[in-house]
Amino acid sequence: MTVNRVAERISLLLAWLAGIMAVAMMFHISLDVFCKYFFNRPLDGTIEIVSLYYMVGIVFLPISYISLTDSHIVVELFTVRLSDRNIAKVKIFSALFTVAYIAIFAVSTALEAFHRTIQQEIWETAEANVAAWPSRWILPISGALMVIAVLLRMYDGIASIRNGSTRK
Amino acid sequence: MSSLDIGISSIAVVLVLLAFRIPIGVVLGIVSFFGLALVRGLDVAWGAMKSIPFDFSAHWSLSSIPMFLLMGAIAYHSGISAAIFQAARVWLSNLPGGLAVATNIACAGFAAASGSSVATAAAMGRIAIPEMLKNGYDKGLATGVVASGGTLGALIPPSILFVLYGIFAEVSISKLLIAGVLPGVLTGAVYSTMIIARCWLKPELGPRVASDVSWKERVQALGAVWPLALLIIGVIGGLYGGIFGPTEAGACGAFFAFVIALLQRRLNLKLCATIVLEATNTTSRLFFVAFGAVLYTKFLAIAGVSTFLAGLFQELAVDPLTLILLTSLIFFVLGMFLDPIGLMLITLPILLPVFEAMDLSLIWLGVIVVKFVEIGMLTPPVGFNVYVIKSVVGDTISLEQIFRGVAWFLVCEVFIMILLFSFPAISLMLPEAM
Repeated sequence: MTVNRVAERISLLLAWLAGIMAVAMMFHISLDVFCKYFFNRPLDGTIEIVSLYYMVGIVFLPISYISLTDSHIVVELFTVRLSDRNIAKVKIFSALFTVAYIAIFAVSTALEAFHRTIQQEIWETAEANVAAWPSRWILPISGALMVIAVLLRMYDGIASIRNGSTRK
Repeated sequence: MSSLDIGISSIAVVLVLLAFRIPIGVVLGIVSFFGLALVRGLDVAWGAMKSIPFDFSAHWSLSSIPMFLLMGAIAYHSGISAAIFQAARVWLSNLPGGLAVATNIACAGFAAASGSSVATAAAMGRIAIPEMLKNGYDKGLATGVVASGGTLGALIPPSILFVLYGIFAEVSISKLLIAGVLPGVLTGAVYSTMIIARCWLKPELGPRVASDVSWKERVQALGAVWPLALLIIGVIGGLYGGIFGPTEAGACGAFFAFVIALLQRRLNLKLCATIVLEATNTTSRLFFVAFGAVLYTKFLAIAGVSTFLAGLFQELAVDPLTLILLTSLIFFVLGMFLDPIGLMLITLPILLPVFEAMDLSLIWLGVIVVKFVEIGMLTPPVGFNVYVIKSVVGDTISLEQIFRGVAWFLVCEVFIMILLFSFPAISLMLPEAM
């Protein structure tokens, strides 16, 4: 398998993981509401688990998949009239900024995750504790993968400009 | 260069970088990072990057967003939209321009299951436009009504825009969602009146559909939509009555939409996969922009730009009317090229302090902002809803024709905005009664 394929597989896997979390979140909260109104006893830790795990997972895990499919939200108005070749050039320029930003994001959140892991960060619920530090690692892992995804797309772009076979 | 100079020039840098097709989230984030580093040093910039993305997403109040998106995706992909249109059609087809009125009402109904206007326009466009064209409706009217009716998706709860606004403005999200109900109904009513009036004066725009619908058929058509009606009443009623918050409303709403779709045999495994991935990818995309916006808000505040602009605004806008006109102008200009989420998140850091200083209701402002953002989705050159419709109809109808059709609805919007400005009670009556 090429690097491209491996990156695609892992990105898709993470996107799927986010999807599973969304479904789990739907069931979990519905069950919590049900228990709250029928047994007068909400599930302990729902807010913490939703915030720490489902939300962080849903928000960050798909970011490399979104980069691979080139579907981040952009302003297209000023570049729609460019030729395919020029759009490819603009995309490379844009990828440089993206890589710089996400690299900063990945490094800073990795440092934070490391710090919180040493601290063994926990969130207190009404009756127990939820380990919070593992969730911190979702950010740098997703970020690092996004850097790879953007670099791969950039490499494709440069190659296509060289061969003159630009694709949209 | 003073901090303020750096802050103000950053606005120009943001606009230039956006033009180069760099993702909005990246532009806002990277400008904020280097801006913070320049103004307060690298440590502060690192600190912001370390904490803001996590703190912002690991947040209960925002968890309603993926749930609303999931509920909307289920309603969209399971074809519930077709049942709503069918029901509206058999009840309203005798009116002048009946199919267009039915489309408009169906948009309002679908909006109550979907949190975004793009989803609403896409869902109704696929079903209603071919039906109207087949019956000889004017192309502009047929496409215009769906593009405009789609905007009801962001007004009638659930609404992603209101949730995001609520977080930034720090006001109750439940109240905001309920505040959107009457303006949404008003918008739908004004649209319908305009369609009926136009088609009554000029019947060739929307020829009468020759059909004798029996009462039995009418009742049958309602049969397919009652579970959805129940769902809508459950979600809106639950929010209004304070039985549950937005996240619970979204999760239970998604759960029941799922059960309804399953019982009506509208789902298969492949469709479920599409629905779930669509909901999570959209959430992720949206938050990617939102972090950038939070970082940028922090930077603008630290650089003193927010206070400066608020002061400037207060000098220019001596009374609320001038303020509102200035606000409209900003939205009109930026709305030409920014997408709805980006537009709202970029303008809020500047507008909120001004409105707070003038002691105007932030819930009312929320309704106004969402309306403006939605109007931006209908105006050229980048009217997102118009592009959605264009992608649905393909080459058969030109962009110009759609924009011309939408123009009539924009005239309605001027009227609706005047009403919303003059009578804040339209927006505030329901939330104040909660």
